[in-house]
Amino acid sequence: MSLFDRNKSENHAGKLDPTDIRALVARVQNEDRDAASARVPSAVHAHPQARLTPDDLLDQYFDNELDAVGKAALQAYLQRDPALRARCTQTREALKLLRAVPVAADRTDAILAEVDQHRRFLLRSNRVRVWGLRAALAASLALAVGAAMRVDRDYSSLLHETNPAPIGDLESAGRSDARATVASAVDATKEVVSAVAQPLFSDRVAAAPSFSRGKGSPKLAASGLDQGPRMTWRAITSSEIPSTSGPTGSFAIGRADVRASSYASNVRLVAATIPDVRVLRCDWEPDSTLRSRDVESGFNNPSNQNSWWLKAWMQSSSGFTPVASSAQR
Amino acid sequence: MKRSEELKLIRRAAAGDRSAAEVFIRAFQGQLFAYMLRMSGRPDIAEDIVQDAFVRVLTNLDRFDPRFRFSTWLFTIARRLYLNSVQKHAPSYNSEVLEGRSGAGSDAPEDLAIDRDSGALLKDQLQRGLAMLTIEQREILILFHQQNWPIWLIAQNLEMPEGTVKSHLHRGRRRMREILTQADSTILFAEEVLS
Repeated sequence: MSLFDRNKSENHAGKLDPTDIRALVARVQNEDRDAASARVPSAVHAHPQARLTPDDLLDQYFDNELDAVGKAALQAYLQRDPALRARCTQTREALKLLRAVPVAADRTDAILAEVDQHRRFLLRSNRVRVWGLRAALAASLALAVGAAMRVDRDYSSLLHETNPAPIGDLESAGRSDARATVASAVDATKEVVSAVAQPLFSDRVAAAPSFSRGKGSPKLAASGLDQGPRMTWRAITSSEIPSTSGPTGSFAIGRADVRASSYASNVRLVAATIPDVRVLRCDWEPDSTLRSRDVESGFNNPSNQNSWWLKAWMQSSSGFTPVASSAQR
Repeated sequence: MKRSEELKLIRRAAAGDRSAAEVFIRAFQGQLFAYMLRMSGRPDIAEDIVQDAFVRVLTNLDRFDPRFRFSTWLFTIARRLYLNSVQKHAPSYNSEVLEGRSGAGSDAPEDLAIDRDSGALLKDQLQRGLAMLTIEQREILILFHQQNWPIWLIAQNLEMPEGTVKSHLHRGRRRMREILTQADSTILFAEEVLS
């Protein structure tokens, strides 16, 4: 195999005629350079690799960068110069040794074992298991979302079905208001709890906070009008809890222009939020009943003729078993 | 390994596929060990660096930049690990371990001269010669001639101009040749004495 057969470099001497390259070789081989140069075409003289020193040519050869002109020039130098030939052979032998790759022990298991300490790689069987688990989780999530959507839809339909009043604009706000109502109810109920925690028959009263739902006209619940007198609460005994709904001894926790199921839910939520209180009864009462009572106490609000009161009887879990009631102004 | 195939494997390995990680290890551990062995001259150091480099690469596959090749990334990390280790251990040479020999003999030239295994001696001289080069010369020589990296890739990886890479390459090659020429003389002398 020729020295240059192993050279993979691209031939950049396409423009040079083979005759010119032979002339270059002749010049290189001719010790009388001046005489030979006269016969070498200028194109060859102008070629960059034709002007390199023998050792530079050797470097470029091992760099795989010699083109046809450079190869011819180096070939000529090698034929003429034994020392250069020796250097070429020695370099080639050295590189042969350098390329000899020692056999490495297979460290795959050791590497993966260490990688496992940082980042768990999974066997195929385990990956299948993990994907199965993920699929099961995704299915469960989808089922949960579906169930939630179903509940939400049922809730909306219930809201529509239970609307007996012509006041319909509150329906849309009902759900968002419900949350505020609950928060307010919780506060009110806390007050009630503190009130009912008094000794039995004390007849002490506690002021309940405003129960405004913050939308539309002021909504009354445990209080009077937002800007009006505040409803008070008193502790009552269990015997005062009516077996049927009625104004006596009732605890009006919320007043709504709509008899919506959400308010009853709110009452139960209040009871659930405050462990010390449980709901004994929870009834809707037409506003007229209350209004008549309000009239008795000197309060009249004709705009609420179509409203409903939600009344609840709550009981504390303390040892006194007091019961809260509204309707004491 | 084709680039697209390599990227698929990386994605699989990054997703926790052990078999994909194994493919990379089996494909590159030999090359990386050869590179590190010639760089350090110490099989134990080379093995440690190979293992450490793979661990770092495989635990950080999510950071792989797809513009580069996996091997380039792996070798770059190995190189940094080696340079860090150089600060702790000066490059040293252990011919016994390298040649799989044990027991007698020293590294003194007169002892090496009577070793009739000229191939082993030349390899010893090669490693010794490599150790006498600068780190840049040694690394460029190995990457170019052993790992067949093109000049531009070496320049990019070592962050130096291509002309500088070539300069290091030429000097390193000439130096190594000179050292091996001395070894040749030693072998001839030893053979004459023993004949």
